[in-house]
This record gives sequence, structure tokens and C-alpha cells, in this order.
Amino acid sequence: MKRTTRTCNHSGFFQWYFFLSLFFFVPISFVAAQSKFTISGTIEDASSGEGLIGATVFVKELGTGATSNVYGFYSLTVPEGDYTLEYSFVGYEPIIKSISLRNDQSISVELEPASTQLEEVVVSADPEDSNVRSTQMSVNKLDMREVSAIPVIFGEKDIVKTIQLLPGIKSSEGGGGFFVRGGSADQNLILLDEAPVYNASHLLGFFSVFNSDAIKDLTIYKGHIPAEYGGRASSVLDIKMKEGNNKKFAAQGGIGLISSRATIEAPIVKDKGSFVVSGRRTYVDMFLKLSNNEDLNNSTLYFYDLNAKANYRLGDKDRVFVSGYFGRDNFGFNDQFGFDWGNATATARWNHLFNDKLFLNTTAVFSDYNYDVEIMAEEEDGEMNGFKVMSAIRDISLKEDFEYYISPENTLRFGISGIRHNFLPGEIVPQGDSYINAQELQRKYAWETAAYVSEDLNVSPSLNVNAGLRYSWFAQVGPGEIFTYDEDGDIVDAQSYKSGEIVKSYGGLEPRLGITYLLNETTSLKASYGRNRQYLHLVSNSNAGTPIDLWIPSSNNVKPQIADQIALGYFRNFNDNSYEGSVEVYYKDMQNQVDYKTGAELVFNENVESQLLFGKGWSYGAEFFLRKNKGDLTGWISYTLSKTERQFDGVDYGEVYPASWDRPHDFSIVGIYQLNRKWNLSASFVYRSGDAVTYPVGKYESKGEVINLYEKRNNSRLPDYHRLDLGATMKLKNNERFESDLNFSIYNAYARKNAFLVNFRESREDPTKTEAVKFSLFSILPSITYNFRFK
Amino acid sequence: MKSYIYLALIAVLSLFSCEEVIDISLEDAEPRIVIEGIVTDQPGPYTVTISKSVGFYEDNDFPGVEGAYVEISDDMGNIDVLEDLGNGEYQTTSIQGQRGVNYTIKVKVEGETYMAESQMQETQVAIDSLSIRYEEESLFYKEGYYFRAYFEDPPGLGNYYSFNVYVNGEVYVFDFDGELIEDDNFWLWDDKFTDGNIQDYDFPHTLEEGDELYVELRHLDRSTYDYYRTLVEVIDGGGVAPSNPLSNFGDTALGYFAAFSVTSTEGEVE
Repeated sequence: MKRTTRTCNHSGFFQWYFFLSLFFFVPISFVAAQSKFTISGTIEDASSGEGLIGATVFVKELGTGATSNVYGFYSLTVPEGDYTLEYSFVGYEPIIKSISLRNDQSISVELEPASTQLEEVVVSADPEDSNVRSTQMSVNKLDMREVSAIPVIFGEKDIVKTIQLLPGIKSSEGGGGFFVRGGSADQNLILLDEAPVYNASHLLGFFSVFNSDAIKDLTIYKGHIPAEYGGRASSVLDIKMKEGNNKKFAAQGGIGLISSRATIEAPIVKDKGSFVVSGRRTYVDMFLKLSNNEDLNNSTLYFYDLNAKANYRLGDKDRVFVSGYFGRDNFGFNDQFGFDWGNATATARWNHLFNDKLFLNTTAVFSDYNYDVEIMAEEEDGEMNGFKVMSAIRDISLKEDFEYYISPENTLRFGISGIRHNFLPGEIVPQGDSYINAQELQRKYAWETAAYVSEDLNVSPSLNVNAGLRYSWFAQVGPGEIFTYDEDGDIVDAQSYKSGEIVKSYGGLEPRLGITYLLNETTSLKASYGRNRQYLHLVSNSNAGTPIDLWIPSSNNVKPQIADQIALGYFRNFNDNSYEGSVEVYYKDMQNQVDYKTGAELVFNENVESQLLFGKGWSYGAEFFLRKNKGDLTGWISYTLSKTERQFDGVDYGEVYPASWDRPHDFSIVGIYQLNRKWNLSASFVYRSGDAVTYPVGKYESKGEVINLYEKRNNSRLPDYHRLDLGATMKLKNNERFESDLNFSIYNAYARKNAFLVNFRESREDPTKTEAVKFSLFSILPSITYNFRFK
Repeated sequence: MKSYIYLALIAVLSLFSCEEVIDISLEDAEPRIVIEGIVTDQPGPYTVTISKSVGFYEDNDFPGVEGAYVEISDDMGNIDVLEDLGNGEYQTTSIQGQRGVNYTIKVKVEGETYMAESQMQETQVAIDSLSIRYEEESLFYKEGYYFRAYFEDPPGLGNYYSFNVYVNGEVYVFDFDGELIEDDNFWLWDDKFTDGNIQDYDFPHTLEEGDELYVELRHLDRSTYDYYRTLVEVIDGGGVAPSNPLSNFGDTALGYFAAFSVTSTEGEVE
């Protein structure tokens, strides 16, 4: 008996050792025993010196290689020998180098951008077959050249609008929010140079805060989110700002109907450091100034963005980056009403190479979102009085991310992070001699920390695995008076906490696993599983998002959201990788979802937590994607078939109902055609089911008014949505120093009146009846933009 | 504040939006009972109405429910069985509303019993005065006279109010660029941001010289205020997830039962 127990223990130990060593340890020890050497360095753009993300170095003799990281750094460890290295990146001329590897070598290369004239326009941001080979599934990348070719509203190119044309990502017209695989709009982690952006919308959602001229690269993860990311349940939109040209001065800009942009970049010290500054401002209010109406020309209505970044190389092993974003919307009528909101982010990063295999990035981040509303009225004595409302969320965080390039088959990533969240839910400040009382809602504080380890392992030439494990821990801390509520939302207990004292903490593991099995050179099967925990929640009166939405922490009353997702995919490239196709199916389970009680008071309410309902949700679907990356005609077709449902005890007595962003069908097609040297044409078409909405099932009379009678949540659907946008770019000038073009676009080309909402009201024609009224936004909307570039 | 932001939003959207009456098919629910009853501190009798809901595309004609047993009682032991006047109207015979008293309504109709209660607030909050001023044409005002009502909120949170406005003895009709909309008299107020202060409430009614004003202030309990507040949300479209207003009948009957005190004042544009 005793013996058996020991054997069991023993074999248990070996199983664990086997498991751990498979994923993390074994290769290290074996590698160390052989005579292998490391080649490392950076892969950069020869014209600007910007690091290339995801460029490859391929060892022809071994049929193996490495990929550059987000800073353009690569490391490759192979046995001693003579090799031919091919450095390549889509859209660039490859470089071939012969080396004799007898010791560790540092090789940095600069790739020349391929001439994109006619012969070949390649728009994928990735190595040609990486979609098939990589363990990453449920991910999309967009190249900024592609973003700028796709027609958009007011001709204002916009990455957030463009990703909504991809499978599994659902948009909302007239709202900045988007919905990924059935997740609500607050389940997307939007990162700008690793700083979270808490409200990514300008002008009530018609534009995103991301000025395309300042953006280098973007990736959206819809499932199997790598373990280094955490904090949101559904997706990560990772946006990286340009670093700036470290070769020479360059400038670009554009003049559009509603906004203008300008960007300058230049070396600080050639090849060692550079900076970029980019700005954008809309000027709708400039037109208002021309008006004769005194109220209109005293009104303000604009937004602006400012992006800045600098980097500097401190020797071979260290490089520092600082970047910042500041943007704001401003609304005002006379001196009676003012409303402004915006984000500010700052990121400082330090890349350090311990040796040619171990890379460390240290990041410090600041992020702030706030709004101000000022309402003033003139009193009889001519004095102005009124009040101001302010609200903010402010984060400070620190991260350490290691990358350890053990061998071409094995890369290990690990790190830690900590975020301090400060919430200022609301403050009212009376102005003048107002009868409004000064009042401040309690500030809230929280810590969010995490540690992760993640490994990319090529188990065999046809089997690649990414295994990650993240542990996250969250604590709501004092000071503050913390309330407990009963089911009716009444306070049953109040307790005081001192500064730093833990009110409530939550934590847990978040396993992430991705497996790719290559059937042949062009075909693979992938599977993934991931768990994500979300500790912050957005309280909003609208699905689409508004500037006054409120972020709240998990607390004694609000549990963290947890999402588990499994996905399977079939990936296949055709015609020498000029077409890439994929089919993915997914199932996502979401716990502790948030909805609102009937008649919930969400604005400036100390007890906002008592207005919430908690329940669960789930989503499943199939996504079909076919993309053409080469030739005169590029673009993609995307179709998503899906279902998203929720179940809350407090809604319809616990019956299942569709989420309002549940749209069974979502189709889009995007085409970009290089007609000749002068003209580039583009078009996009979307067709999707309408949002799930609650329509009345009758009417009754109360207080002398005709009132709509409602029964089940989201019992109907808005009419189907479809829209065609057209674009054309005409090259005006293109020489070595200067380039310019004119961009024409038509939004909603056939003037479809898509339903924004349907209202039910007393008939305007016949007061004895009631009628349904459809409201639609934006009919056909042409625009023109002039773009230029000094290079 | 919410409504200002809403206004700003609407202002921007209206630059680009268009509206169109459409024909969509809607399900019809089973007719539901609607009960509305009010007790005030003014002399009775008080009226309770019982009606039924109809399909959305039917006429705005809501059948009264006759033959119900309707009873209003208070926490001092008074019980009043209401007289059926026909056409869904029922009238009290003896009970007299009094501040500080809790009232209960009980309705038995078509085999179901419906109950609700409401507390008439003890403190009387009287409307103090009106002020009238002239405004030039601007973004916020049409040219004309406007009025403001004053009253003093007692210290302590949890006071809820509504106003009823009558101009020249009639319900006012707003003219939005030719579109005539009757004042629904949902002028709601609570002391959440102005507790214990002299309140001034601005009304948007455009008046002319010689107009006579009659303004009533009602001091409501929370359940009545919540009903009115959520009723207004339904009238305004209901937002993302429209639902029926919060009623003190719970989910059983539609409508509400309210006990409140009333004060009034008059004014004239000179």
C-alpha cells in the first residue's frame, strides 16, 4: 500500500516535470549542452529607420527562422555552420546574407520599401504565410496603407471604423463602441502604446481618437488573447504609434472637409534617435463663425488630437521611448453651456538586452479620461450662475516584459504588471450664486496586478503550440465608506475603510492555449482556449457609448466579469499566398455580466452599484474570411453568422433574451483597385441584420397620455442595415521629395436610409392613432481630402 | 444635466438625420388592466379610473372597466368603498386626504386583486411665488415672457415634486416650429442636488402680455415620483431597453396610486 502510494507520487511528479519541461524548461538545458550560437539584431525600414514588426529572418539551410518583435528586435539560435539568411517583410525588398557562424553575432538590417507601382501591391502587414503557420488565431492586423485606401465617413480615415469591416467585429452607427464576438463594448481593451484608452470616441462616436497619420501598426485579438494582455473579457485592440524617421526630416499632412492634419518627424541624432509629432483638428465651428446668427457663431464644436513620440538608442543594448497622446472634444453654446471631454496618455519604455537572447521591456504608463460639463444661466440681476460637473478615471501602471529566445523552436515570454486605478465618479461645483449644492461622489481606488508566462513552442515541424498562463489579482481599497445593498437597492450596511485598506479582492488564473497543426505548406488547423477576467465595468445609458459613461471597479457589490472562449479554425492560402482564407467557429461563455434595473439612475448617483443587475451571457458563431493580398485588386470578403444571448434574474423573470448587439448576419466586402499610376479606386459594402430592440406590444392611457406597453426585452429587430461607400485617390505629384494626392469619397453612395432608431408616438396626422417612426442618420455624404508628403 | 447632454446630442444628430413614418408589424399583447388613483389633501371626492390596454395600431380609445370593487383605506382605520360611476370611473364617498397618512388602494376585478399604497408627505411644502421676465429671441428662447417658480425645500434628502401649469385656465400648447404639442405637465423635480435650498424652477412656456398663470406644486412620495420619472422615459422613447414604468402595483397592474399634498399660486403677465 505504502509502496503504491509512493509510485503514484513519483509518477505524478514526472508528469508534472514532463508537462512543465515540455512547455518551459527542458529545451533550455538541452540547448545549453550543444555548440550553438545566436544571431540577433534589429530589422528596420531603410527609409525611416522605424523598426519592422513581424519581419522574418529565415535560415535557408535549416528551414527555420525567427520573427522580429514589436521593437524590430530578433534573436535566432542555431548550431555552428555556414548559412544563407533571408531577411524579408511584406512590401519590402528582401535581403540575403551569407554568414559563417562560429560565434554569437549581431546583425542589424534595413529593408528598402518595395516600389509599389503597378506590378505588385501587397497590403498584408504580415509575412505571407504567417496566418497559416502562427499559433495565433482569431486575430486581424491591418496595414495603415490599407486603412488609408478604404472610404470612410467625411473622408476621415479611421482605424476603428475599418476594423469593423472584419469578421466577428460588429459596429454601431453613430456610436464609437464596437462588439467583438458577442462581448459588450466595455470588454475591449484599447491600448495606444500600451496605455489604455478609456473612451476612444470623438464627436459622440462618429470618429475615433486615433489619428491615422500617427499610427504605425494595429492588431486586434478576438480570441486566444496572448497571456501578456489582460483586463478585458473580449478583445484587445493594440495600437502602436509611429516612432519617427531617424534618417531625415519628413512631413505629411492633409486638408479635409471637416479636419486638417499635420505630422513632422525627424532624427534627434541620425540613426540613433528620432521624434514624431502629429496633430489633427476639426473645424466645424469655423463655419459656424461665418453665420450671422449670434448664437451659432458663439458656439463651439470641435475636437483635436495631438500625438508625440521620441526614441533614442543608448548604445547597443538599450533604447528608450517616450510617447504621449492628448485629445479633447469641445462643445459650447454661448456662455450658457459647455461640455468637453478627452483622454490623455503617456508611455515611457526602456528596451534592454541582457544578452543576445534575453530582451526586457520596462513600461510606465499614465492614462486619464475626464469630462467637464458647465451649465450657466443669467439671473435677473445680470449675474451668471450655475454649476459644473466633473468626472475622471486615472491610471498609473508599471510593467516588466521579458522575451527569452531560447531556440528557433522555442520562445518564452514572462512578466509582471501593476496598475493603480483612481476613480473620480463625479463632482458638482456651484458657480456664482447658485442654489445647486456642492457635492462630490466618493472617490474609489483599486489595484490591478498580474504575472504571466507564455511559451511559443514548435513541437514538430507541423505542430506549433502557444501555452500561456496569467494570474491576475484585483483589490478595491480605501479610503471610503463602503455600502452593501439589498435586492431593492437600499443600503443595509455601511463600513468605513482607511486609506489603502482592502475592501474586497478578487484573483484567479487565466489560462491561454493555442495549437496549430499544419496539414501542409498552405493549410492548417488551429484550436484555442482562453479565459479572461475583467475587473472594470462601464456603466452607460447607451450601448454605443457616450462621453459621460462611467467606469466603475469591481467591488463588494460587483464581481469581475469572466469570459471563457474556445475556437477552432481552418486556415488555407491559395495561389502562392496571394489569397488567404479562414473559417473559424467559436463559443464564448460570459459570467457576471452587467445590466440595469428598470428606471435605473446612472448619472451622478453615489449608489450606482445598487442600480445594476448581474447575469450571464454567451455567444457562438462562425466567421468566414477570404482576403486577397497581391495584385492590382486587393481586399476581402467577410461573413459572420452568430448568436449572442443573455440571461438575468432581473430581466423578464430570468428568460433568455438576445443582446441588443446580437446580429445573426454580418457581411462585408472591401475592394481596392490600382487602376493605373494615377488612380486608385476603392469600395466597401456592408450588410447586416438590425440590432435587437424592444418594440411595444400595445398601448394604454396614463395621466392623460398614450403610453407604449412593453413586454419582453429585445423582442424585435431593426430593419436590415446595408450601405455602400466609394473612394478614389488621384495622385497629383510624386517625385523624390514630394508626393500629393486628392482623395474623394462617398459615404452611403445609394443613400440608404438605415434605421438608427424606431420611435413609437401619437400620429402627427391623426391624433386618434399611433405610428412608428424611423430615424436615420447620414444620407449620401461626399467628401474630398488633399494629402501631401515631404519625404 | 442628462437632458442637456441629450439635447446637445440631438442637436448634432439633427444636422444629419431624417425621420419617416414606417409600417412595421407588431405583436399584440393580451389587454392589461390599468388603474390610476389619486388622493390629495384637498377636499374630496377623489377619482379612480380603471381601463385596459389596446393593440398599438388600434385607435387611442381605451375601454373603461366597469363592475370592479374599489376600496381606499388609510392607516387610521378609515375604509371607503368607491362608487362605480360607469365607464371605468370610481369615486370616493367619505374619505378625506390628510398629510402624514398612508393610503392603500384595493381593486378586485375580473377575478384578480390589485393593491398599492402611497404615503402623503407630512411636511407641507408650499409654492412661494412666481417671477416673470422677458427674453429676447435666442437659441434657447423664443421671444416672449417666461416664468420661474420659487419654493423652499425642507432640509433632508428625499423630497419629490411635480408642477402642473395652466395658462388662462387651460393646458398650455407648445409650438415647435408649427408642430403643436400639448403640455403633459410632467414638470418633475427632486432635491438630490439642491437639498434644503430655495428652489427656482424655470419653465419653458412662452407667455404673452395679459396671460394668467395658475401653477400647482405637488409634494410627492418616492413611488409616485419614480412612476412619473420612468413614465417620462417611456414617452421619450425609453432608451436602449424600454420597459414599463415603475409602478407601485408592482408587475400586476399598469398605472399608479398616489397620495400627495397640493399648493398653488397665480400670476399674470403685465
